[in-house]
Amino acid sequence: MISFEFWATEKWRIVQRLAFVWAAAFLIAMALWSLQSFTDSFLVQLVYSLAISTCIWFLTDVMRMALFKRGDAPYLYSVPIRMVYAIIATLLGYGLGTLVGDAYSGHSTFELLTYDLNRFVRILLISVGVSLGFMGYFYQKERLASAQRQAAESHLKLLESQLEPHMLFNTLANLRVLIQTDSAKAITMLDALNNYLRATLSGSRESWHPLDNEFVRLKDYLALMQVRMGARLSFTIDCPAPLSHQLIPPLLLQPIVENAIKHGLEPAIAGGAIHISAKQVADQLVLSVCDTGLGGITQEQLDAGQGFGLSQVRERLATVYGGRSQLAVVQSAGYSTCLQISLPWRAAP
Amino acid sequence: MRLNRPSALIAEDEPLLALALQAELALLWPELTIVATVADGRAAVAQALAFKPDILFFDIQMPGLSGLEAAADLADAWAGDEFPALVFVTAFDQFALQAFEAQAVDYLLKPVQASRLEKTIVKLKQKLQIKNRSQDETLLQLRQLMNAPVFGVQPLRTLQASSMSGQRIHLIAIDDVLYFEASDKYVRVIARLNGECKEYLIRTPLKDLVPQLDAGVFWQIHRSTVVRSTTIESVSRDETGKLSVHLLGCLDVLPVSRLYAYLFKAM
Repeated sequence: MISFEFWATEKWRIVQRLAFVWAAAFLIAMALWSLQSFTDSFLVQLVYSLAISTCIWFLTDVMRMALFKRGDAPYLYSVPIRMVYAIIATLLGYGLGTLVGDAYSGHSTFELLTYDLNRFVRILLISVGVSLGFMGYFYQKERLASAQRQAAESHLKLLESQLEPHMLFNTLANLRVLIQTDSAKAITMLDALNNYLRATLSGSRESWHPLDNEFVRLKDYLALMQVRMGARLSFTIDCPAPLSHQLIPPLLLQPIVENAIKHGLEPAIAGGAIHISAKQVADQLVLSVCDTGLGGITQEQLDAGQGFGLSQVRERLATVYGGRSQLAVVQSAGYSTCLQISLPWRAAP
Repeated sequence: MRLNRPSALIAEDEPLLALALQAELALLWPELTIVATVADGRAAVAQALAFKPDILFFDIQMPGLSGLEAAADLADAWAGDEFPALVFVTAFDQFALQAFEAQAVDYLLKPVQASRLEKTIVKLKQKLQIKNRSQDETLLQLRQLMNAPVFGVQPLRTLQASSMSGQRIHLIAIDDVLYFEASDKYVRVIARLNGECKEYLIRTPLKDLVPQLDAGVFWQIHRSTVVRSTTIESVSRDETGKLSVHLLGCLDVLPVSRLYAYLFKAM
């Protein structure tokens, strides 16, 4: 259950934090010493302060990683469990640190309980307060760093899948042919490629765009694929006018359409058709991508996180909408695969 | 006569690219006749068998069968005459390119550029000069390409397979598996449990499964069959020279493709 595998990657961060904790302990010792009008020896005050802060820090911060974290994965347990642990660990750390201090100074702090309860409580509260402050600070810092890392990772994944070299080089190969044989068509294709690249590179920076933009981007992509696949690909896009200003995360449907081509139509000898549509169902915006290709993913596979592009769509939905959105495989007459996304209604401001 | 008018077949699923390759070839090698242009792997095999061209230009990513699979199937069905010279065409595939280089297999990168195509043509002309090109060399190259090692794959210990009715998930130890056979959407798993041969289904494609199996234990004997070597009782050869594997205990007879016939040679 306890695992110290974090030590390899977190070594320097931990040493850094220990130095930070000791510096703070030094300041606390100074403060307490001055509060007691410099009556006790400073050294005694310092030993108490160092022992208590080190014990609390070790039990809360270091042990927290050993108990609740495996590598870069999220924490193993929920927030309340970790809070309860933090409180128990703080009290335990305080007790241990105090014993160390008592051993050095020769008095017994716990005897204070019997004759000066106020003073005992004051020291306890100062210790607990300071350590909680530290823990909160460390925790926030860590959360920020991991959120940044996750955002960067998903951004990179999106770019990688959209700027897939196989797609790019095949498109360029087609373009090269068209330049010689049909320059008007070459220009149309170049424009579509241009729009596609622009959308891909800037789309990952914006957080929302209107549905009609999304559909225009998909049309660019499908137009590119149509030049490549010829008669093997046909597509229809249906966006009712009242829905066109709905805001959605940019290129949300792109991986789904790519999947339909890659796993549905490209492997089918006769190719097939893609139908993309939007509709309003109660207070939800429902987007669907259907194809007549080889037919692929089932709901179980979807739930098991299979299909690289699709797990990425799910992650995005979870980040943006939390539990208020859904990605599902649905049955639709005339199509072999239909994926549906339901989103909360969100009109342009 | 063949040397005077060499012939070629183009297999490319993107129509414009097929036309472009044909046009470039017409320009740089006017004597070459393109006997057929096909858009999928199965048609490539069928047309190559029908026309017996001297040269095959095979796209790697095609519907039906990939260029590599089509070449292997063709080698299997090919009879008699000299096997055509193979040139693979691909847009981008780092790993495939490395494998091609290593096996000295001809390949072209898309977009196909005239200067590179010229070099390929020179090589092809030299190859066509050589009489009695044996199929063995092509088979060896294809075998190496198709068995290119995949790194970072954990060996498989147990399978989660569904029963034929699809009602249950069974956990099957790899040690009980006799052979795997790919069918349309599934891979059939035949395992011996309590002395009985039983059949299950998994969805993992055979080509993803193979790298997770111990190559010394499980032998690929056909594009769609991987068999536990210790369960093979005997190998028979029919009048046309085709090999078949007979298993211990189970009555099943499994065909061996020519690509893997090298596994069975009397010591």
